[in-house]
Amino acid sequence: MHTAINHLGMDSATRHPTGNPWRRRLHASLCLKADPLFVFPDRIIPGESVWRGSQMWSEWLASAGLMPGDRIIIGLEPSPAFLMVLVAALSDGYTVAMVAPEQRGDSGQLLTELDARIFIGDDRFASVLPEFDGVPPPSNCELRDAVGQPTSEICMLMRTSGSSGAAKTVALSTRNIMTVIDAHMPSMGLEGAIVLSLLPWHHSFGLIINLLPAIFAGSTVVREATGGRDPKSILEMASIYPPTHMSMVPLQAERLSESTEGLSLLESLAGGAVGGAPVGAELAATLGGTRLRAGYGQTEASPGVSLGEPGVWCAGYIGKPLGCRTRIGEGGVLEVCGANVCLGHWADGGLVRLEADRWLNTGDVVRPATIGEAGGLVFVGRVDANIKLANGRLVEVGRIEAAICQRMSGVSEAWVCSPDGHRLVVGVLMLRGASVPDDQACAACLGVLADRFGGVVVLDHRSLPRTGKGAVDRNRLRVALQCRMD
Amino acid sequence: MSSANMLRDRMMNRTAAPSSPGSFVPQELFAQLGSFSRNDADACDFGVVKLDDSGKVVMVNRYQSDLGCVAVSNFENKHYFTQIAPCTNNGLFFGAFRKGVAAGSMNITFPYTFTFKLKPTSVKIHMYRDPASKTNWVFCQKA
Repeated sequence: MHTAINHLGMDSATRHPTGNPWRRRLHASLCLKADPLFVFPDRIIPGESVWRGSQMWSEWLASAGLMPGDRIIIGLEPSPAFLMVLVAALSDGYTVAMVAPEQRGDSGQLLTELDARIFIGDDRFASVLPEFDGVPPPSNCELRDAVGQPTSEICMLMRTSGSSGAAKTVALSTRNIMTVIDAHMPSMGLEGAIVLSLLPWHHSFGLIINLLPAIFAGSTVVREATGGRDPKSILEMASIYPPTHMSMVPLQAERLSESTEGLSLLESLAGGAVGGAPVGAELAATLGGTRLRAGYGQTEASPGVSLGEPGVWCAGYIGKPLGCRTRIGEGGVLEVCGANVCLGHWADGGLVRLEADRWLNTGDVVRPATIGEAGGLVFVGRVDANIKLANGRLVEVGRIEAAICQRMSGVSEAWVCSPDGHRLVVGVLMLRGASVPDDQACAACLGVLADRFGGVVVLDHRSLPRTGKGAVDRNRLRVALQCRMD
Repeated sequence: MSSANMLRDRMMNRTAAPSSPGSFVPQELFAQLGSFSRNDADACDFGVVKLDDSGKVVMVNRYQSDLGCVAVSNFENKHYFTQIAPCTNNGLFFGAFRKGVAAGSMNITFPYTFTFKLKPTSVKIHMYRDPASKTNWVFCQKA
């Protein structure tokens, strides 16, 4: 229905002839395109309609008085409105701040913290609510006066999940994000793909590794209604739209793999990445029978650092560096350098710009992988998971845990905790059918700290305390182990 | 009928009775399609487009013409999926049409978003092949 009317309207590409790379790429990917196609539980929208909606937002935002570099908060659920606002904001050079659903109630505080001029959301806390079709409302709203200057150099402000350190707001430039998309897209095979989208779109993994490449590749993007929380809902959507690609966190893969149907779904996929948290031995064995890849990164790296080959897995495998340089620094910590490393972070209402060619300390302890010829890296642990005993001695738990898994047959995963600052207690997951580990052998893995050995506890896979992404929550595990030892 | 069920029908190419639950098309209309005239179509308060098996527009009603701001004369004899509504030229829409024509059976409903007068607009679509007259129809109503 758009051929006859296309020439009647002024197109954004002609209104803004000069070179924002987002505008060029999004226009080429969406304008007059039936694919990409976005399928939501209650609506289906082709690229063309997203583009037209974005043009309406573009005009609405400009007429409200926004200038390039002004900060816009997007607090929308995945929806046509989310896509339209995102496309408009990127195309027009605004700084887009993404917020999680649980943050949306604090819109006033967020506007102040991010020194943003407008909050576009889908609840009463927002400055502006999109209409049903995703388009802007007929009337304009009053903008907040920004205290600081526009930040044209920042494309996106993204909150880290806090799973690898204290949560913070990371500032990413267009170059940061484009570098990662361009490095990852050739490996993803998304042309003609049906992508079942489970990951949140306000997080870097879901947005930069999953959604934006699918848009640029002209994929069909099917948004699962529960955001990947309910395996039954995932399977139902997959039965309606058999996906070719799915990216997910380990917990989602694990839950799917628990049923025959879920396992079949994982095995049927042509591609996708599993990342965001370390993958355990059992899940790694399962994923070895799929075409899924290990993906690793942090929001501070936009968030792509490494990617595995399809079906190449071992416990903790994070793939091979992609589009950036890496090195293993002091204490085995992975460091990253390249155009993917973030511009800086947002603090006290402004950008804290960091040196461009710096080495980003990921805080993740890694070692070279030894999976056949695959190469790459294996995650060993977080440097901040290390324990300081009451006498001040530092215990590098990642190394000890790796040693336990390597030396003790039947142990698939291990965690070292110190409930009291004196003893070291080891929690282990055993492979199916393996016998209970021997205390002496386990103590020997502690090396010079063997005299600190306080016991080994066999854990149940299902009762492990986990974060939302599937990583083991060490604080809760420590408490649980303390209870078991007492 | 939920969107999920509508989509399931689409994927399974299920042919339900003409009175598809959730369809906005009156049941009695299906029995008349063999002799459905332009006047009959113009009397409908939803869009009616008749297509040949290749997807070329044989007839369009005034409602649909007005909705898309495309004159009837510019609509007819053009290919619906590539020339009139290229935003439907994907696996879901055109793919389902081709599949239905090949199977000789098509009765599917799903939500979609067209751009009318430069504005994205949610619509309900019902694609139907009349087995008696072997004619293909796209019915469209604003949601």
